[in-house]
Amino acid sequence: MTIEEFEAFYESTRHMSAVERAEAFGIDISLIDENLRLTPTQKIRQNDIALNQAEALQAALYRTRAQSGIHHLPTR
Amino acid sequence: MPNLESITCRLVEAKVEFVLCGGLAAFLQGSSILTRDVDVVCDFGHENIRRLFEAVKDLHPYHRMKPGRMPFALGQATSQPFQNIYLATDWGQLDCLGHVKGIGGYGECLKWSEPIEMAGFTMLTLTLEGILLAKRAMGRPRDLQAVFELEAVRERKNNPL
Repeated sequence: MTIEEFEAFYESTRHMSAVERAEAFGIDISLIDENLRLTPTQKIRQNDIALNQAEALQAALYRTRAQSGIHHLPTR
Repeated sequence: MPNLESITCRLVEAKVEFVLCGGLAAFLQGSSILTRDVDVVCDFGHENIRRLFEAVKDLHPYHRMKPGRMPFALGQATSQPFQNIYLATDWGQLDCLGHVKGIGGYGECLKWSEPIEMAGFTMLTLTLEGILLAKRAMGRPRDLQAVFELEAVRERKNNPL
């Protein structure tokens, strides 16, 4: 998104509330509502858990790739 | 293994003067976008850099943007006028910035900060308005998209469900 596209989208949704504009942009507001219910400690722990799970999945992907000889999977 | 909570708490324990900014600050303010690193804006004075070094020295810190994974060493850190320090550590990435676009240096960021309690520690983070200022000023596609989300966060905070 360029700054011009950003401004055009902003202008075309000026009549909307910020939540409506975010939804029109494709943002899942339920994720925001869920996050706002958490304390800062719960938030950062959730972030750390998700990061570690993503790294574990990525590592498994690379292992699979190495073992199977598949070469079209993304490389690190 | 990423452990952004522990990195952040280490900085407080070592009495580093900093304000959380970037993706982690946005996430703590209510954004749903996960982050891979700890971004802080900090005072780059000798004493603060020494505290930063003490906070991370056992986490095998190195300058991840410099060739050869140059270790983060105290002598070099205090003798060179760094503007930013981009570190990789055993617990994840720590970016120490001297300036936040749209706001300014550490002193200016203090004016756009508020205290939060996290994991038993009190620390400063950019306010939602401060993050919005920075995101608009950075102007990258992902920053502009974050503006839509953060404005929705602000509206939700002002008018909770």
